[in-house]
Amino acid sequence: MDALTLIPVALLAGAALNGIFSLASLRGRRIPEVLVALVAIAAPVVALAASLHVFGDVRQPGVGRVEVELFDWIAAGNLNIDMTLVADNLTCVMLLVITGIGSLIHIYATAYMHGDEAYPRFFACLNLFTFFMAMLVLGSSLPVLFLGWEGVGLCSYLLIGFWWKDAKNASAGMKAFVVNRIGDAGFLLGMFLLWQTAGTLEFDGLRQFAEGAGGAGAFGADSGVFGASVATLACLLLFVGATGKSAQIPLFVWLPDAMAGPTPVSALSHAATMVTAGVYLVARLAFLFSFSATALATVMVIGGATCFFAGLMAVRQNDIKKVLAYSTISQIGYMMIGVGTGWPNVGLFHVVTHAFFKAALFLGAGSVIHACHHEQDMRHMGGLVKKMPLTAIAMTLAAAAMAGVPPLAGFFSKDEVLWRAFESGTAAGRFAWVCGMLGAACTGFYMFRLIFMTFGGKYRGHGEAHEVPARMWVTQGLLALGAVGVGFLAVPHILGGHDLFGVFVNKTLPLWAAPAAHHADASTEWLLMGTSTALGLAGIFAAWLCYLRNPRIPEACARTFPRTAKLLEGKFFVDEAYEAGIVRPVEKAASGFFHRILDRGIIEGIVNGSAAAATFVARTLRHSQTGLVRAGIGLMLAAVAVLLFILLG
Amino acid sequence: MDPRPYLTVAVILFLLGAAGFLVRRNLLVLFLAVELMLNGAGLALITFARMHLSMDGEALFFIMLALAAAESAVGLAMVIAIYRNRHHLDADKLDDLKG
Repeated sequence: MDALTLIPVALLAGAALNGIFSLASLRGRRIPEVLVALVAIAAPVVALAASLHVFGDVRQPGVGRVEVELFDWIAAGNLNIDMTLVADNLTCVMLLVITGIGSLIHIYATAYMHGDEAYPRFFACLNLFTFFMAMLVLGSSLPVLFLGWEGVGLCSYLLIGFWWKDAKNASAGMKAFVVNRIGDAGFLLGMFLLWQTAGTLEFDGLRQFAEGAGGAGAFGADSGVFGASVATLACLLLFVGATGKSAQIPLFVWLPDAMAGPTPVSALSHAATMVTAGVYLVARLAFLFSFSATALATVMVIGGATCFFAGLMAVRQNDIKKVLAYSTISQIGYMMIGVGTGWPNVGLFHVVTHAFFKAALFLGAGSVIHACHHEQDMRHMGGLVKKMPLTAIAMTLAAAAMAGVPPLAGFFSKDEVLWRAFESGTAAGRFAWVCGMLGAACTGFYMFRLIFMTFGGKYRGHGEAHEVPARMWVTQGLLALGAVGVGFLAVPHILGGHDLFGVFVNKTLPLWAAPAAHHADASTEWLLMGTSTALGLAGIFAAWLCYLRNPRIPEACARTFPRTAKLLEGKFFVDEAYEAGIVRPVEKAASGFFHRILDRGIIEGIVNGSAAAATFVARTLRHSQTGLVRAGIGLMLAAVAVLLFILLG
Repeated sequence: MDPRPYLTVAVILFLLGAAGFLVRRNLLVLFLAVELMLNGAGLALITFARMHLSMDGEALFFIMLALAAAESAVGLAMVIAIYRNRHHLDADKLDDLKG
């Protein structure tokens, strides 16, 4: 078996084995945790080794991509979809993130979940999660990508509702699934439109069609919906899918609730799998988005707005995981801005750096929760730096990386995103840039608010906190080191670097953006870099002022501006608005019109009515059946005689 | 060869069987009537075979004989089974399929 096939096979085998263990343990067989943990860790580690091998192959000059056709998946009429795995530079980046960070999270989780009664089930789902994400990035066509897309949706449902005995967790899992389904509907429609236009769903085929003669004409044609071109409509529909999976406005509401799952799940889905899928989709279809300036502008505007609003929502949260959840939404906003600028490599680089610091932060948060006996409220933490110094260092480094402190990873990636947004020169780009700048200040503030509330000051909780086992602090430490160092992969030219990452990724993703109308010069770039860094540092300073120096400031602010405070604490009441504006009317329509009138009245009326008619006819005709053999035979003979008479006479 | 006398006998045999089936009530007699009809048809087959100087009709008749043997084996077994259960063989009382 070649390395490329080994990646999904190893992950699926891990999931299957642990699934069997899970079934066995349900039947009362004792499965040692060590065995489950070994299988669970081996799967992503083997996949990581295979990914590295593939990466080596792809990097060889003149190769560029590796492809394996596994089998015919769907063959219906002129629709022919092969199960083909392709790895090019873009896929390699995603694969290394998924399997690399995934492996560390798996190792961490084997310690974190110690003693849970459904230990094998957890790791079966976790392996499966990684498998589907690998399929998502490996697929050579939209349907294969969609298979992975739905798979991660399923696994997120299984894992968010992992502790399903608490109804709250189960409904959080359901919410994630349903909101994702809304996005998936858009994805499917976009896919249909592409099929109708180009007659193929393979990425290569689509690209050839787009670049070939007539491609521009077909994609530029009026789609008949709001006067949008076919390309715009298709991109926007696919982007609806991306907003669902990547938790962007307006479909981000599932992600904060998803914190109901065990913390390693949050780490995995926020860093390595799931939420980056939308960014990957837009980057993968870059050639398509290039036909529609409207779609690109929409991506940037949505990304920018999400980035800022989610950042604001994070600043008044007290649940340590909720802060991180909103920060993820906000950071994915940056990624969306990045892929929307026409330089997908900057968006992808933020995916990579974010994977490191977000995984480190979530694992750190998991350790803190673990140490504080499942306390998640930061008001009951504090002073933990003395109890768990290693976790504190790792989390602080990761937080600083996210806040964009130079020269940590977030500084390079966020700065590049903002720079490209500014440079694009469009109104959408400027809007995204402003939002991103404000978001940067929010990031600094809420991240260090989290750090100071958790590790600074005095311990405000109950019970003795303690440092976590080695397996946990080693993994989060490695991730924090990554968060420190990974930025140097894409040092921009202005800082004397060569942007290795961008060059590598852009081999697969040729830039499609029209060259910016006016090239801002180096001094502008310096200025912008300085401003965004200063804003980040200002956010950190404000957090220090409010939560370490003088903890009375936040309360005073809340008293002075009660309505603002309430708005922030209520997360702009988006959930409540959806509840009142969408969920309740839908429920009312469902129970009132659809159930009572359509289902009960019309559909059941037709079904029951036809049954009653059949009964009536049968009851009338049954009297002809006398049950007498001789009568039947007599009738038969008479009929034959009549027939013979007709035929021969 | 003039087939008419043979065919006349065949028709008489068939009609006798049919009439017997319609007027009698005893299952065994019904059975006999069926055999009579079968033989009427068989006689017609042989007559036609003879008429056309072809073996087809006779071959068919042999198959029919085998079929009749099998049919009477099954049929008589059923008659016996019915008698054991119901202690009578009156076809008109066996109207369980009445609607």
